[in-house]
Amino acid sequence: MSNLRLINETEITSSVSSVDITDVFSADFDIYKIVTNGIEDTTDTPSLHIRFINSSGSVISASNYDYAYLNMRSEGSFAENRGTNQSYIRGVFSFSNATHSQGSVTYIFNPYLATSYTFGLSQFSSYATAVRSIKNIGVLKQTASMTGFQLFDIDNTDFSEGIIRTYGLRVDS
Amino acid sequence: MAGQLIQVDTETVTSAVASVTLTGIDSDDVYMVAFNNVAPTVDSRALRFRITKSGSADTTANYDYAAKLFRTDAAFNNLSGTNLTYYELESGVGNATGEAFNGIHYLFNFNNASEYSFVTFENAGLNLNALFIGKQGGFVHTVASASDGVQFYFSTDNIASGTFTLYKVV
Repeated sequence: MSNLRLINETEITSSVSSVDITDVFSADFDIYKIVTNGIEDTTDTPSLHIRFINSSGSVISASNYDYAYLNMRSEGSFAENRGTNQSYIRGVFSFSNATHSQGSVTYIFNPYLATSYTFGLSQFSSYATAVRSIKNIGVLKQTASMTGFQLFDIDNTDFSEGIIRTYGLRVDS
Repeated sequence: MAGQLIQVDTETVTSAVASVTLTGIDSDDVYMVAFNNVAPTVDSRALRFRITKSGSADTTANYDYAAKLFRTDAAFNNLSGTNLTYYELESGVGNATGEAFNGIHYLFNFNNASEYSFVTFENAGLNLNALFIGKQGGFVHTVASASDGVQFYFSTDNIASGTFTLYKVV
């Protein structure tokens, strides 16, 4: 059996501005892989980011997130972006003024481990009139158990389709 | 189904050790190393990485690398080096509450005795100043001989915590 275990598959089938993926992080795994593809919007202006959800089901929106990403653009110069003490990790799933679709791979580390911060590494590619690819690092600086995450559009723009798959990297001792 | 991970070796550090060595690479498949919650026994120690030949870390000056250092306090840095005796993931890993180092490495050509061994890496963590940073890039061990694993260690002192797992990607 593969040590890459599918935990959750969520398909977006109606217009929403956020998706909560709950009860996916647990003591069973320390490292998770989130794969999204085909997330498309209704107004062509998505900017999809991530927040974590704690064991009480609350979305963490406190200013405890740091991130840094490199935005590699085919239509212009590359851009570095960074933020500290933010209320979300920016540029994890898609970031573009206009996109027709996207694909991303994100690794999350230690979300359930209450003695550690929650860390992330991500990369995605999206396309509108040109391709944009991003490499991103992010952290939630809280020592608390996270059990899920929220994918959301900061501008509350709806997106209407796409698939989000969450896997755990199993370690057999 | 492509993209499966088969565990080859793992070690979870619960009491201090000088190094962690994972071995078992014996095919031409791509391998992946995942590690999380890695911290030193003493704050601000450099986390380093070597490949192994027949189970022993190769300390010869044959490691070349190039990377982008992502940082949250200033402009990113381009880093590179040649003929090193190790690849350094981070020069000052922190060990305060909540801090840890984490990453994913993909390993290529390790089993091929006539090719160099290549690694792509991405990692992130907090350093001694609680600065959140990470590296993305790659390195090569410029010796055409088979490699069978990897080793993690800190420049001085020991590994206090961490889980390190070697997977085969099939």
